[in-house]
Amino acid sequence: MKDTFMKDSYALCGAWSLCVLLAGCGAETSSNAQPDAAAEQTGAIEQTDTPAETDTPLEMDAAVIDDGVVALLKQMTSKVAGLQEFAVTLETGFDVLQPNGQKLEFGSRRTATIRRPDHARFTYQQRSGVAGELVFDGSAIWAYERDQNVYATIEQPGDIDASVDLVTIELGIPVPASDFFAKDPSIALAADVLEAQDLGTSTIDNQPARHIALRKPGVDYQIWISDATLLPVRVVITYHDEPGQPQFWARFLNWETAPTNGDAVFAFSPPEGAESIRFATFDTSESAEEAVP
Amino acid sequence: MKLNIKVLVLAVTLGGMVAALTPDFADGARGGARGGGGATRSGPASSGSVNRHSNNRRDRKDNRHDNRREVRHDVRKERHEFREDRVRRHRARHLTYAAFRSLSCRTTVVIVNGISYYGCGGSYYERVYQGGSVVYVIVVPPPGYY
Repeated sequence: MKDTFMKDSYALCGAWSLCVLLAGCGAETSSNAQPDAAAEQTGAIEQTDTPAETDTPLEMDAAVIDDGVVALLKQMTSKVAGLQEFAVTLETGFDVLQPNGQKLEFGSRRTATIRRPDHARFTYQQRSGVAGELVFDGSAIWAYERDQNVYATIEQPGDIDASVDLVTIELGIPVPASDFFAKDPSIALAADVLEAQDLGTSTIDNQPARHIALRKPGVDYQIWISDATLLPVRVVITYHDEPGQPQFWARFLNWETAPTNGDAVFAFSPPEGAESIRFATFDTSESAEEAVP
Repeated sequence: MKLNIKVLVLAVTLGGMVAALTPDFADGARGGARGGGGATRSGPASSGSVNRHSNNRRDRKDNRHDNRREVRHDVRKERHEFREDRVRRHRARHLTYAAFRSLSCRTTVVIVNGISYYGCGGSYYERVYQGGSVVYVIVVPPPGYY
């Protein structure tokens, strides 16, 4: 009788444990399956956005590219590309979708000082207070963080485009609005355009600017181009195929098209007491995306 | 027979406990992507580029990986490869500056071969640049501090 009771007890305990295990696996499976479900949902939303859908309003059926918009865009990119040396201040913000579904905004105040073809200095002051800079001196890239007084460097002989790619793709360091600082900004901003619309004149910082809206695979973006200078004064980018459709925005302030910067601006000298550290993704075969989840 | 049933019960129970704990470990490994206040502070929109999805850019990345592979090899020798390997093994565990400062331990700093190691609760950390931030990664203790 006692043996039977013991066996029954063990069997009951085993069954309970199996339930716990299966419940755990079930939870794991459901959490793993969630992104797929979200992806399917995203896909469904995208399908409704296609011009072929019959429910789409008539005016949206015309997925057209306004040639005038593209011409204006290329006027702007040509103007920027023609600036051999310039400096601009940016106020930026971007959304980050949190694990609980809440969308939060972060941002920074930045400056970009460019001397083509291979010198640049970017400074940033995040809203969190973290500040630093990034210097391309033509032969190396230097990253410096002021709070901790540390810097890292990597050899990089090459133009600004190559340096930005190395920094953003391999090192995972964002350089917001870098499309506008490229040797030819039209490659990023005017290629693969699916739709281009003219939304007329807007007032930005009390100055008239043309508001244009464009779509590329994966991104919608709007640019406000100053009537007076043909330079961009504001940009908004929407990553519509990313969860939560986060946006990035930037205001371009204080364009200096003929700055008188000395060579020292594009050189980095470690401040007193600064410690050299390394880039985490340097020397590894893994990509930057893996290091920055 | 009774013994076999006991072993089965124990194995299944332990299996259930491990399955229940696993998600917590995974979350811990992702902790480095979060800044102060526990919020995630980086995402697709922080790039501020319209070119994220461009195939051209990915192609350029692949080409550059090939071109830089040889350069990396040379530089790697100059930068104490043994240290890189140690860090790489532990790269999944990293803390932001704020998270490191909030650790409840007395931090000690040891400088070996010009590298600052931060000891805390029996572990040693090294500062590195990762994704535009300075973070603390757990490394093997420096020579003489095992």
